[in-house]
Amino acid sequence: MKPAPSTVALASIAALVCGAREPQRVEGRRPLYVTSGAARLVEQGLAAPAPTGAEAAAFEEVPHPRVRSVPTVARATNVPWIDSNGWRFQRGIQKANYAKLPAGFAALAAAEAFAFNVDAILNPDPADVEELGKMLQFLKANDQPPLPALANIGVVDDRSSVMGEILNMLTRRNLLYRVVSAPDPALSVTVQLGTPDFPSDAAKNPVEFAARVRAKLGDDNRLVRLYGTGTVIARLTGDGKRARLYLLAFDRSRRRQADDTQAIRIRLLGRYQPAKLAAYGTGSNASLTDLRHIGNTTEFWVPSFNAIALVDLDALP
Amino acid sequence: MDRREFLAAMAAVPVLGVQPRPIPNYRIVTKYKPAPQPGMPGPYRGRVVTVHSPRCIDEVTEKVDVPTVKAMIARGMTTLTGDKDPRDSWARFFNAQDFVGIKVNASGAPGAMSMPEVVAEIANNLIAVGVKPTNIVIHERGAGQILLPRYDRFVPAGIRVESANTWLGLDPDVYVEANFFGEEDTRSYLIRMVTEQFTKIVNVPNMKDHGASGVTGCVKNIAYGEFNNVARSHYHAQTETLSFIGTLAAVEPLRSRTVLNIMDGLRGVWHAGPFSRDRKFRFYPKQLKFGTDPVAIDRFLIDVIDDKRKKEGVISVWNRDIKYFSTNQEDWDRDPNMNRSIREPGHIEYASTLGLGVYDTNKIQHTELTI
Repeated sequence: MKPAPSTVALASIAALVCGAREPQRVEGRRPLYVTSGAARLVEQGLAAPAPTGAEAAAFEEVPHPRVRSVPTVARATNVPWIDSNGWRFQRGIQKANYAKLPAGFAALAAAEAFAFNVDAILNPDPADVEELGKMLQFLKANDQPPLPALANIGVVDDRSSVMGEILNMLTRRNLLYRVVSAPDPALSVTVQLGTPDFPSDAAKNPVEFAARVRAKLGDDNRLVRLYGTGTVIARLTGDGKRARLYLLAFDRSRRRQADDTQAIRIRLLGRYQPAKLAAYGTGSNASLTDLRHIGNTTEFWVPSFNAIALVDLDALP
Repeated sequence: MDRREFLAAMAAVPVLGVQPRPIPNYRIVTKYKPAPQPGMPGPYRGRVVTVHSPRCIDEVTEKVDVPTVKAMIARGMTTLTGDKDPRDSWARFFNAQDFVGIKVNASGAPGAMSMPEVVAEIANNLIAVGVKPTNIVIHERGAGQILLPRYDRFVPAGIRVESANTWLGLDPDVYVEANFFGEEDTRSYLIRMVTEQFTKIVNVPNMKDHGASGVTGCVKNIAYGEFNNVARSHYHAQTETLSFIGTLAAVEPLRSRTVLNIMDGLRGVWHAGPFSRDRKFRFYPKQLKFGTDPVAIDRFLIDVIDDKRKKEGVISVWNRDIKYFSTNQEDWDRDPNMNRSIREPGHIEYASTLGLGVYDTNKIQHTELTI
C-alpha cells in the first residue's frame, strides 16, 4: 500500500527539520531504529529514528543477546549459555524493542535483528553509539534482499512456555526449524508434543528434548554444523540458486581473539560455491579456507570475527 | 588382547565403584595409510629402557645437571638399540632428509613440563645425525604454555618453537568424530604440522598424574597434544578418556610418524595433574624412559605414579569409588584423596588393544640402569 501524499510530505518536512536522512533499505529488509541518544546515526543515514506513541507500543521488548557462564551439574567447570532472541523471532515477533542494552551489547543486538530480519528499536548505552554505528555501516554495506529461511525441522507450536524453551534450545543447537501450524511433509522431522517421537513428558528437560530432535534428524542430515564453537548461532537462507549463511557470535571475548583463520569449521548440507565472506571485526583479507565438497556437503573454515559474519554462496548443480 | 577381548574382560571383571562407560562410536577420517612399519609400537615393541641417575636434578633448586642428562640419553638410546655409538642409535630413526617434530608437554609449565635440557639434548642428537636445525620444530597443539619453558634459549639456533595457533593450523581432512555427551562440536582435528610437515616425531612426555586419565604419559601426550577439541572428553565426572586417547594416537599418519618416545622423569607430579599449581605434589623420579612402544613405557608410568601415591598414603589412581569424588576443584587441588573425575588409567591397556604396544609386564623386556 502506498502512503498518502500528505504523509510523504510530512515525513519529508520532518526529515528536513531534523537534518536526518532516511536510510535507504534494500527490498525486503526490515528497518533498524535507534533511540534519541544515537540520533547521530540517524543523521548519518545508518538507522531510522525510533517510533513513538502507538507505533512504538507495537514493538515487543526483548532481552539483550549475550552469553553467560553457568556451572555444570557435574563439576566446577562453567559452560557457556547463550541468551538469543532467535527463537522469539522464529515464533513470530517481527517488531522487537531492545529497550535495555547494557554497554557492549548494542552491536550484537543490531546483528541479531539483522540476521533474523526483524524491525528493531535499539536503545544503546551512550558508550556504544560509535561501535553501533560501525556495525550498522557494516550491515548496510553487506545488505541484500533477504532470502527465505531454510529449515528441515517443523515445530508445531502450542504457544506454551515449555515449547518456548524447546524453540530456544533448537535455536541454540543450530537445529534449523520452522514454526508450522500442522505437520509439513516437505520437512524431514516434525516436532509436535504428545506424539510418540516427542511425548509431552520429554519436554520437561529442553536440553534432552533438543538432543532427541537432533537424534531423530541425524547429524548427517543437519543443514548446518558448526565445529570449533559452542557460542555461535547460524541462520541459513536460500532460494535454490543462492544462499546466505548468517553467523552470530555471542562470545565476544573469544571471537575477538586475533586472526584465527580456523575459528569455526562449517559444514553445510548441499553443494555450494562460496562467493563472499563479510565478517565484522576482521581484516579486509579475511577469507574462507580449505573448501571441501564431500558427497552432498560443503565445508570450509571461517576466521575469527566479532558479532556477525555473512557467507554468500552459489548453489552448485 | 584385542579390543573385543578387552571389552569382554572389562565387563567380566567386577569394578569397585563407577562402571566404565560403553565405548563410543568413533568415525575416523584420514587419507593417510600406515607405514610398512608404523612408528608405534615400532621396531622395539615390548621393550623399555629406564636410566636412573640421582644426580640428574637438584630437588631443592630443580636445576638440571646437563652432563648427566647427556649421559643418560646416550646410555638409554644405545641400550635400546644395542649399538655402541649413540649416533648409530639415533641414525636408526632419523636422517638428513627428515623434518622432525619434538612433541613436548608444557601443560603445567614451569612447574611441570618436558625439561628444556632434555629437549635440547634430543635436538643435539638429531643434528648430530644430519637433521637440519631448521627442520626441527618443538611443538604443542596449543599456544601459550609452550612459551613458558623458553625452549628457544636451550636449543641450537634455527630450531623453532611452534603451536598449531602459530603455524599451519589444523588439517581439515584428518579428524576423529564422536558424540560423547551430546556436545555440538563432535570433531577433533589433527594439527597440520603432523600431516604436512613432519616426517618423524619424537614424543617427549613427562611423568604426571592426571585427574581424568589417571596418568598422562606417551599415549596421551601424542594424542591429546596433537588433536584439538579433546577436553570435551573430560568435562564430566565420568570421562571418555578410556578409549579416546588410544583412538586418537592410532590415527594415521600420527601413529606411523611417531618413531621414538623419551619420557622425561627427572621431575614428576603425583597429584592434581596435569598441572602443578602446588609444589607439594611434585616429586623427583630422576629417570628417563626410552622406547618405541608407548604402551609399554606408560605401563611402568602407572607404577611410578601409583607407588608414589601409596608412599604418600593416598588413594590409588585406580580408585573408582564415588565417595572420593568432588565437584569442587579446590577439594581436588588440596586433597590427594579427592578425584575430580573417575580416573581412567585403563586407557593405556585400551591403547594396547589398538595395536599400539604391549601392556602385560610379563611380556615387556624392561632394562633398568643407574648412572
